[in-house]
Amino acid sequence: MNLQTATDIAVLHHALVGVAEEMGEALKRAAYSPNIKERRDYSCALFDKQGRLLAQAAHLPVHLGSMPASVEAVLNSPYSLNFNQRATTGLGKHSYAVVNDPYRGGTHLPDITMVAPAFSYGKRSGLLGYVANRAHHSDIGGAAPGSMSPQTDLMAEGLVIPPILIEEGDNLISPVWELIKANTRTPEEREGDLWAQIAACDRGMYRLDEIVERHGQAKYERLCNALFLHSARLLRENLKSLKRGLFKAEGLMDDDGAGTTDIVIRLKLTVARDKLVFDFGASDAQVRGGINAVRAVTQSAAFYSVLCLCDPRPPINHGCFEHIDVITKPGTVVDARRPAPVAGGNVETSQRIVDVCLAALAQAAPGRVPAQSQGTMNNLTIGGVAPNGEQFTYYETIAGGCGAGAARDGASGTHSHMTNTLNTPVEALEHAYPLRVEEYALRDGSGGEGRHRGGDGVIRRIRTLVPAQFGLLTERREHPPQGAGNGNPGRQGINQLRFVDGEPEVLPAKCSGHLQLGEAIDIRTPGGGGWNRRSR
Amino acid sequence: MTRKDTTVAAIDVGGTFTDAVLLRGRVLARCKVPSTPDDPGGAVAEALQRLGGASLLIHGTTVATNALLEGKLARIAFVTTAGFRDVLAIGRQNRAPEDLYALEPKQRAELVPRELRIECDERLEPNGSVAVRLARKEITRVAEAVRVLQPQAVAVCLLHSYANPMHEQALGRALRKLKIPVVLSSDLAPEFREYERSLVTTANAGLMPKLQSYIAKLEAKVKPARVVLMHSAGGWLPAEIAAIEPVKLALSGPAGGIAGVRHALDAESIETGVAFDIGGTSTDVSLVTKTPLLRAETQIADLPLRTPSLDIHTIGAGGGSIAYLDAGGALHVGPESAGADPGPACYGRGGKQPTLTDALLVLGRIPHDLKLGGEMALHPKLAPDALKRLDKSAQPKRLADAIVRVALAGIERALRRVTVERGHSVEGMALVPFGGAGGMLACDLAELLGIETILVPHDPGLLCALGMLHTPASRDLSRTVLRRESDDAFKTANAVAKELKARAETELRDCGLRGPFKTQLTVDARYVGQSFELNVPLRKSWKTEFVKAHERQFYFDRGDAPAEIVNVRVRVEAKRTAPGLPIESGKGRPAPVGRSGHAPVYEREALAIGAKLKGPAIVTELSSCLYLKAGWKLEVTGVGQLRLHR
Repeated sequence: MNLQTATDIAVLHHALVGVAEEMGEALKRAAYSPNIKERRDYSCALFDKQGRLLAQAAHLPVHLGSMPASVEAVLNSPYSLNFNQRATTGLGKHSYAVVNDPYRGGTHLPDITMVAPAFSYGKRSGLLGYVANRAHHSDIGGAAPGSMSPQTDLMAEGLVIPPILIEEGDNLISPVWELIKANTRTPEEREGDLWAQIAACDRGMYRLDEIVERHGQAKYERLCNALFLHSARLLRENLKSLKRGLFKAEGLMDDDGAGTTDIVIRLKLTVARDKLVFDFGASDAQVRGGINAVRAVTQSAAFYSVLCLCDPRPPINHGCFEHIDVITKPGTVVDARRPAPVAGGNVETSQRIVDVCLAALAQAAPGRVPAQSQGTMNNLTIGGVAPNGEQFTYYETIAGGCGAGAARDGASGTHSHMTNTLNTPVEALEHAYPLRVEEYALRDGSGGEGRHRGGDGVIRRIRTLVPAQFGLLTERREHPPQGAGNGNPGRQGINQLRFVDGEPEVLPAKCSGHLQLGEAIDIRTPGGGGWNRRSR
Repeated sequence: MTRKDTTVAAIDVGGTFTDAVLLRGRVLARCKVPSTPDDPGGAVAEALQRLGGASLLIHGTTVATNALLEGKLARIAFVTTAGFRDVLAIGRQNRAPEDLYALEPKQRAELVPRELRIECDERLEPNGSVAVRLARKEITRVAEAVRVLQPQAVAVCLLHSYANPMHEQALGRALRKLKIPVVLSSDLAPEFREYERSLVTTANAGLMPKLQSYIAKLEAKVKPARVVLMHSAGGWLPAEIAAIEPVKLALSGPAGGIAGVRHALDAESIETGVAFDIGGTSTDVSLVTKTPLLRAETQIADLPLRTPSLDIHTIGAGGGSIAYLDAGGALHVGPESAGADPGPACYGRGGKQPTLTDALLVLGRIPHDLKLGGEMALHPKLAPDALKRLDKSAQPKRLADAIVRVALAGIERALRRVTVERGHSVEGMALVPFGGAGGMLACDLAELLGIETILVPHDPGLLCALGMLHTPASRDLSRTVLRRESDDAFKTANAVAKELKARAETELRDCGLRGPFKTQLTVDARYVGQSFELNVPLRKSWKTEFVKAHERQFYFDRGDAPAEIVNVRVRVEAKRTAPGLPIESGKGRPAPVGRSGHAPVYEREALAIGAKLKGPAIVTELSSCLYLKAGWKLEVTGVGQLRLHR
């Protein structure tokens, strides 16, 4: 590469990631719900005219690489109109499509992705590319508040939105907004959050136009291709450090919450000179409970695992994915088909797929991959009616231990791999809900022993001051996070129901139920695995 | 400030230089001395002596910042409610953003090891009522447990203590008998969110021994000058208060820079500016509006410190940032830095890697005979050799140009993000470069951002110290009230505000300051159910103000939906003694003193009021260097500042 291109692509990369970051700031500012504003459960990205990922801001790994599927679904949907065709007649300006249908470009129902075409504002009227963002909405209807409790039917999980326009040419398509609002427990919040997603798209379109203007369209497009080539080249460089061959790994999901246990994810990883092939074809069939992952989630997990091993890490764009193939078999737990429920696929199964990918990669990169982390997000929902008559829904994911590695002990009480959301402070929680946190501490001794110790999990015990309902969507209650080498595994998590007096009752990994006044849910999250034991 | 303080010195300690200015009557004296990192007070005392001594010394210090950055805190015991001993270890349970794709994410800084965390059997409800009483026996047990551990300081943070300080105060009385510093969260930062409150309380305790000894030693060295310290919210604190609340000094130096930029903008009647300070390893940017933008917390070494701070954003790219080509062939500048030692290759101290400063030198934006701080000579021949390490076949000028472009792209990206985050647009603002290198990139950055005006203040390299001269004493206090509007929120907030105001005034008076004081009362408000707050004035009509602010900031409001007051904030300011700085300028038509590349070089002190220059040109002065790009014009304003436009 000559100096000019080396400089140009560095400058363009900064500019494009900058646009994605600005979209994220605009979304965070304008959003209404705490889940987006405070827990920062969203991602923003830019695409070229062919729908190839150009840049993505570093928000949540679980959204990595799964947004191109949303863009593709929107472009191919008869209900979202075809932007490409409209581009030639100039009709598509200021059109915004949304989608959450897991089987048409979505992942799980609370994640609503918005896609909009970006056009030039200047004399030229051509299509520049697409902007997109995905945000986790805190309620999208369904059987239980928060739309994240274990169900056995996609319909019970919430409202399914196919790729569909919600605004076109600055005109709101009101029936669509009304339909979405009528199907959520918190319609005003949904409306506010969707507006925020539009504001983020607007920011992206405007800035993308400026950048194309600065470079000139022809040069811009040439440089985008150079960016893809650069990322692909960096990824190939990274592949050189891997051993070539076929590596097998598998991982177990505890259960699906609906009677099926020990669900196996099987991977055959082929490392070739300039190709990584992740073949999940032999994984178990999809299950009745809501832990099924759609293909886009599986791809995200595989891409994430590879990027973790990269040093230097290539800029995240379409070029990174060119040398990574992900093979899945439709109808399996890693490539579910309608009408399988999927709420937990994104938050729980995705973590296991990462474990499996890293287990295979560890064989190709001996000594570099740490022990397994907690491998769950410990989703907890508590809802009911407060003494003042208002309904409340509390949703949280709880951190655990990270796996120990060659460099250091695993981090304790920290979210790992596919998520990185913040907690709800105890003082904020107790102010907002009729709940009391009795303990929030590290779970001593839960990290696996080894030359480096696995990180400890967390104890969080919450007592209710009113009768309430709860939902748990957790993993690693049966099969613990594995150590690396001969390091010890971390401890499994434990969910307990604590009565006012008497012995506590152990709860299943995935369940829902009632809490009487004064009863408590006690969650102990898994510790990370240890890194090789000391030799004697 | 009392009448006796007729000579005021302001001294700001930086990584390489300690900058000092002194105002005696209408005469301004300045000097720069090399910093003495092992004992920063040494350089301060020397600078003051060179300037001839003062009666009041306003001091910007990095002692607190560096101790936080390096994790060098005292041995602290941490006392908290039973069940929550690990609150600092768990934090907000997320990993640092740069660790998002790390195979081995780092453990967050815990500040207090497990054996020094002590649980106390007591419990308050969110409204402050007592759920579990703190027994006298328990107080004795806790005090004894602390005594046995022999810590250098104790931090106490109990759940919901912002709503009722009784239990913390009872523990405080017992712990103070141990004759070590005790910090109560209900005194220092009575705001809800237990992790942030515990963290700021602990950090403060951990800084106390070091800062107390630093301040005491400094006072002895500079006698009879009275020492006061710049705090993060842009005012100064008497030494007595700074010594017990050292965490408030985290942005001590940069706060002076913002005060200087505000003063520079005011002199030209410009409303809003983007302050821009390029240092050795990092660049600070900040939006400077009419009323200072304060954040409720500031981030130091990934620690969210809950203490009111000016809104300053730091980017990991500076003059010492190293340029390299990655394995895929793309050019990067930073985040690795050559720092101050060895520094850029052209410093001639053994640095071999190409840096941004070397690129600027090769491009002729830094005259080869410039002496840094008036003393340190450059080694211009070393710069092209360093650049050639990137690509032997390329011309050094082309390499330098590439490095500057990539560095600017990174700074532009960060600046745009910060402004969008704060809900502003940079277009139409003035760019105010300061620090040693700000002026060398100002024209390029303005062009990239669509900014039309650049304002270069007096002595840009001494701006932090100069800004401190314009800064009044101020005391910022706050407390969480968490009351809904239906529950007499205004009445409660008003009562709390009165109490805080009285406390702030008493404290300032106790330090010898005379009234009348200027007071600013505000509340952090939000809609019930939200988890972020907006700061609005404390008035009966606070709800209306809040709804308006919400619309302005987030582009929508929820009208009549119930709102609540979360925190009450009080700022009490002593009268501003803002000295009119002398206007210094040269005479006659500008005449170049030399050339650098294709640009004539002018000395700033020789430029007369009203003098005009056209780019390309370079203007040098003691503390910094300005590159006026082709296409830009410069004019010396009526107060002697440089105003650039396209």
